[in-house]
Amino acid sequence: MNTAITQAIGTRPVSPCREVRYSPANETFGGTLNERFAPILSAIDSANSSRSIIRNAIDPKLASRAENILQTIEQSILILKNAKRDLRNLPPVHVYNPDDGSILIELASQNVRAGFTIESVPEESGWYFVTMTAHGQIGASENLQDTNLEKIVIYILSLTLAYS
Amino acid sequence: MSYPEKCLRGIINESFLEDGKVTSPLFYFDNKHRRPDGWIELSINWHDDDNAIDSTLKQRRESGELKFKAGVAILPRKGLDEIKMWDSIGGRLAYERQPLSENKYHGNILLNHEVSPRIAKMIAASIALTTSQIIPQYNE
Repeated sequence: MNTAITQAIGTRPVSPCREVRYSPANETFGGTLNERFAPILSAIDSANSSRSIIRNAIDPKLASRAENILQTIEQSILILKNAKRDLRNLPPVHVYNPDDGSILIELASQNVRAGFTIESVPEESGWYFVTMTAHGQIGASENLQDTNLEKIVIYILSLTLAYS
Repeated sequence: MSYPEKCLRGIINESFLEDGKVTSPLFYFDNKHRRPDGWIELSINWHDDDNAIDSTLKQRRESGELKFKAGVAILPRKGLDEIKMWDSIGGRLAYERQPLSENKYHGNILLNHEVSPRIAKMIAASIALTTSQIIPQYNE
């Protein structure tokens, strides 16, 4: 019986109105979703819904670079999740296609904003991390060119979690 | 020149709002608004008196439609002063009054055109973060 419960797969509707599968973390919860899974779905859900904005970008090279960053963000979220980090405060991922033709991928909470800016001139693409005055008013930024993307993304996500 | 504690940035439409916050692109400096003296202008209104917010919300385009359909963001000037002090900014962020015949509250946040896109967008995100309040547009 316990084995059957442990292996039970359930579904739960999540915003925006589509079901995703989850595996209960502990059968003693009686099939209730472990809330530690919810933030991952929220962050990756928002990353998925942001893809339509990337696909609509006029410059396909820009779109390709943005997609690469988005995938790296998703992979990094899963790495943090597997490392048992509490991701409940991780802000959702949003993508913007402003009038200047660039693409912005950003996570924004009340206290912090972390962004990746993708420009038509690759050397001008970069990342930033900014916090409120009450949190040290950090203003950090660097180019994305010649950067280990995986390392910088996971570092920025960790910082975002720490300050959110 | 004296300035009030707050300034106002009009929000053109809902695409500049996300999760109850203003988006960073609301504060992107556009090279189209670069002046001969090298500063790029970002329009604001100064919160000089109790009528400033109402006046901003009622601003209309030549076509007659409301200019700021999604409301107004309130920015503490203190936040701008703190960002101005960053080493990476190096005196290349400023603000000014620029009253117009139809708008006595008008002013600009100014960014030197030499600032790289990467730093400019970090500044935009920082300004967005300082937003203390969003006043929604009136229902018409």
